[in-house]
Amino acid sequence: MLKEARVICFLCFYTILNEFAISYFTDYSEFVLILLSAYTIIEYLIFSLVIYWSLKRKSLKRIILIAIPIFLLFSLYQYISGLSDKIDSLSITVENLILICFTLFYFFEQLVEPQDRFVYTSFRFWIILGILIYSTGTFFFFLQSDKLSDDQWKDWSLINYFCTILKIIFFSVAILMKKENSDNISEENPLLDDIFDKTLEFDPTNPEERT
Amino acid sequence: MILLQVNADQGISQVLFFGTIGMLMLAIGLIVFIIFHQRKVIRYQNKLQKLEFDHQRMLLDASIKFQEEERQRIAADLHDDAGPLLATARLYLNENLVNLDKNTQLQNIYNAKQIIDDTIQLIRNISHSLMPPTLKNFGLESAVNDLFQKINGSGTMNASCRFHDYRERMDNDTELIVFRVVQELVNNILKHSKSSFIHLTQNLSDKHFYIRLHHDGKGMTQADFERLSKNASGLGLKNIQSRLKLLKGRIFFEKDPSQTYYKVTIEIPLPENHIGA
Repeated sequence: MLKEARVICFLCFYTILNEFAISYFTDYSEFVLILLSAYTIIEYLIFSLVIYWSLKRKSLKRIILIAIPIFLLFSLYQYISGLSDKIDSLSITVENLILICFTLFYFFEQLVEPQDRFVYTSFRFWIILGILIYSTGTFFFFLQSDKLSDDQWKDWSLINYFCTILKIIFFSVAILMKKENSDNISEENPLLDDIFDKTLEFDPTNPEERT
Repeated sequence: MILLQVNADQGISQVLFFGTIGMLMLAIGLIVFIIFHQRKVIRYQNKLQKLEFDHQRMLLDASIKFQEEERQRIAADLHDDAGPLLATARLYLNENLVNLDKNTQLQNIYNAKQIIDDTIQLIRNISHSLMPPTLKNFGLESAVNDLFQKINGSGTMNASCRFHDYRERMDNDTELIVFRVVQELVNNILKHSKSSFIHLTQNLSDKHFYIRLHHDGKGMTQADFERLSKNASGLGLKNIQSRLKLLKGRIFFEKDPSQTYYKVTIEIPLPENHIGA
């Protein structure tokens, strides 16, 4: 299994465990807030890492590396200052915004550097697509989450569930896809390939073909 | 107060609904744009690759055809010239077995010797046409000088050449390819241009080796060259192209701004060990 797939699988398991843990505590206690903040940071780190692996340009990779400590400090500050008593809304919004930018880096590379195969044949595309759809879809939900009442929160959580399902579907497509094997791409003269293919079609052991 | 609360709730709901829909639409739009753009680029690339492949195949065909023609020419030379000469020599020698007259025998041996000498000369000529000995032993400059002297000697055209900077010889294969290209160009000029003179100059730059041919006859421009080398005919031009491709070289056909003569320039990158020599 590829490292990207392994990391994504880990995130999926972690998400399930986290959801169980949070649902165990009905009120927003200190422990739940720690779990939520930790989840935001781990999710951000994993998505950043996956995008980092998918990028080719060093300058863009450097931006991701620089953004990681800045976001960590910001999230810690948010948690310590206790600005939110329900969910780390601002951290998640900033996380979504940064991840949207990172996914745009990937698509920018795809546009600028011409590829010899379609972008959707790469498993990385599906992972990045999952991140983009999830980040854009839940952006306004988490941005407004501080202003939502409990009932509204429950109602509008549908957006989060819907985007999460889409994200999981895209991740599953990525995991189930075969690894791109660049070594198999034939760069030889196709004319020669044709000639060798034709010779292989001939079976000397078959008496009917010995005419 | 309740009304205000309801309005505020509606505002949040609208922001959430339209914001989320808008963001998702933007994301999907971006993905669709990238996919369609990439399809367009890949299609264009494939088209270019196909054109390049067709061109390569045409050059390969021309090269194979040229080889076959060369073989046929050698076969014809051997069969039509060397074959009958040797057969005649054999007849003379056979005659000696039947005729025991000393004088006739001597005459026959003399005749056979003459014919064998002619055959040796003929085979030497064939061999020289395959690989000029001057080129192998003394280099490109001497071989080109030789070629131009022969043209001059025929009296049909005034031919001259000057090598400005050729102190260090290139390797044998490169020299042979350059010589063949020059030979082909000179042949074309002799056959088609009806010019009164032909002049060759050689020069070196930091990284390139140049040969330029001038003539005052009917010549070609780069556009003509491109057009003719893509035709099914024009074996010689394709051959020039494929030979130069081997050396990663280029060729330019142009008419002088004075409109009085045509120029053909061959540019070949110098090998690493020649750069700065």
